[in-house]
Amino acid sequence: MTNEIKGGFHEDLQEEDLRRIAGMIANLPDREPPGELIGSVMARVKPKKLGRLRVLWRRMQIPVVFAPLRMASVAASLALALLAVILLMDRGAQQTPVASLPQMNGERTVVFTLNMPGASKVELIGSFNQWRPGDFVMKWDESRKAWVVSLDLRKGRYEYAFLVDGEKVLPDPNALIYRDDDFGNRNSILIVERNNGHEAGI
Amino acid sequence: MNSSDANLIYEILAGDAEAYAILVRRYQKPIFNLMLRMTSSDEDAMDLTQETFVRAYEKLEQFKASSPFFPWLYTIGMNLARDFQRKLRASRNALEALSGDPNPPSNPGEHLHDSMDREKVSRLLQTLPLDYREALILRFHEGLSVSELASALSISVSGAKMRIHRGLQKLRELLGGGTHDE
Repeated sequence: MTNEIKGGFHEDLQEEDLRRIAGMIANLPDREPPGELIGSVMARVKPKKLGRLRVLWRRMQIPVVFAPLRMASVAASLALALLAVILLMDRGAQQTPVASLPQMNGERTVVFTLNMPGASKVELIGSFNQWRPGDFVMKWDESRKAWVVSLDLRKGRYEYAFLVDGEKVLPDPNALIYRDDDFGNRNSILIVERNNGHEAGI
Repeated sequence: MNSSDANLIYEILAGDAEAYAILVRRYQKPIFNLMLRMTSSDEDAMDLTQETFVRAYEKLEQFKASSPFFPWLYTIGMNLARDFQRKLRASRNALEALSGDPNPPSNPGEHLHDSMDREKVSRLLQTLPLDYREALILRFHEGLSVSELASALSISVSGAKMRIHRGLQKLRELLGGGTHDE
């Protein structure tokens, strides 16, 4: 029994370490490429001359946003955030799915939550709306004991934070990956995937 | 104008070479940083980055429009970088910076919370085998899905998952975090 408890504790610690390492990797600084790079590449490329039919064929191959729902992909599509926000998962009878079925336009619904009962107003800001306050005001959900807002997002990587009472910017405490911005804040990172949720773990 | 990768590539193939500048701007940073990791030289990184984009442009007809562009581009970059390293080794100029001795792990009882920092992670990443390192970078730094990552590294999805997991475990050990089991 003791060993089981100890083992579980160690697994938790290990998982925590791995998440922190993943976060560190996400935060690694990037070097800016030299300014002349684009020019030097463009100086070496010449316009292509593809036949009309081939161009048309390529056009037809570009995936369109609209896609019919396929039942086979429904289960696989439920989990969308990998190493990112731990999306709200009520364990009670009124369990709310955190990621809706993929919508007809290819977007996913992501539920953001913040457990901060003392706040009087919480807004979600992020790269998906150019960090503009006021767009996504969160609502207090008594049953979840959390501020909640849902967003429809396309596949991609987003940075976000919570704006509490109009002045305090807080990262999502549940996010697994953070990135330091250039202003001394930590932003949370969300990665929305198009495909299945088998990739959700570390 | 719709500036998705697929649409830009369509424009390029239809004769608009200038549209390629948008793709270069979009992906130059991750490719340049890949090359920095592979060469530890600004000059070589610049050359290889440039070569990657030129090579990709030349092969653009072969790119599948239904696939994501970045993993495909990354594969080209990785192949060029590997060739570069092979040539270096052949001329006995192996990159010590990449294959040098890893720094010793932290004090064995020290928890990661206290011991980790970005510089250390960055340094230790360089000591990992290339495939593990790039898997971790692509996954957590570039935000690729496992399937995209697998495509970029030309491996299976299960192989990609394995590399991510083992890479993280290895990093954890190097950082001195694998000390909880007694």
